Amino acid sequence: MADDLQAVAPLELPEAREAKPNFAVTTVEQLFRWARKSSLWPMTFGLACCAIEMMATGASRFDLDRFGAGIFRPSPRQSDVIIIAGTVTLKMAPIVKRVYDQMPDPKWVISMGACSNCGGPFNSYAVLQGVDKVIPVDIYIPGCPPRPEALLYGVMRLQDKIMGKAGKAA
Amino acid sequence: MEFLKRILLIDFLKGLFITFPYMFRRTYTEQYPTQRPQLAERYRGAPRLNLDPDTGETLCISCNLCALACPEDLIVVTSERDPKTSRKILQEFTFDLSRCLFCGLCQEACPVNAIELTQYFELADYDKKGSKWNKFKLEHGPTELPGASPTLNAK
Repeated sequence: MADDLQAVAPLELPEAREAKPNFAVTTVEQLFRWARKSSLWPMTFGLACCAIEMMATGASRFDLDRFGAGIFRPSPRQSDVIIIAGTVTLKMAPIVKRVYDQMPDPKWVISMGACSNCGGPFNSYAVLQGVDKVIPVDIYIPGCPPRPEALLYGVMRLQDKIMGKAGKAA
Repeated sequence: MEFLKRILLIDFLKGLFITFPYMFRRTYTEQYPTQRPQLAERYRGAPRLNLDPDTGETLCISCNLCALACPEDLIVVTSERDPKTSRKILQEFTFDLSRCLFCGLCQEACPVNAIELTQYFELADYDKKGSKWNKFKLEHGPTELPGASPTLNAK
């Protein structure tokens, strides 16, 4: 945490170096990003077997709370990130969309597992082939299901994206 | 008596005495990014196309058995026939990780141990196209993402 705050101070963003009058503004923006990254509250929303792995990630052995993302909110109005963990059936897709719409900005989506990435093994008439057909996805985690560390890695990459380091990474 | 019990928070303290010893027990939390997790020996993660350790050429003979074994049909093997030796030469090998179940059937089907599932699990990507691995990525691993292994084939 303290290291992160120190990382905020030198201002590594290129636009901050070029545009002088925006210096204070970008600093605040960077501080906001740091705050958002450090308190990623996920929505309590699990669709299938990946949700079991998501719960394991939240529990004490893997402890999602170490990344500030462990407080699963029961309401979309209070959550920042939705982890689509499992098969999105066509019956469930409108509900996923509605829950996403109810979340306040800024909001992020983690697509966890083969099913939500692209339908997984269920190439059928009843299953949505990828949750990105309904809502925009920020990070895809392959796996069936991904192990908890893989989800933690995904959360860390999402935090990189929030801090504006995603372009550098990918 | 009941009143005193309530004032002095006796029941509350009783509960705390049960939780207090947990302070001195072994901690269970894995410190994942700094500490590598202990994976099971047979854990199946990212696929890898093995290279011949002597020549550095691919071991794959493009027999297409992995693509046939795959329950998701996500492996595409493209090959060309060498006119002189009439052997198949591997041109491109595509592995769509986003649909993969990591079932290991491709690994079992391979007659020359060319395709192998490694223990590497950090596969998250910002783009769905990133999980479509080509021959180079299968041989050398995902090098673009931070924290990624430099190369899957390095021994």
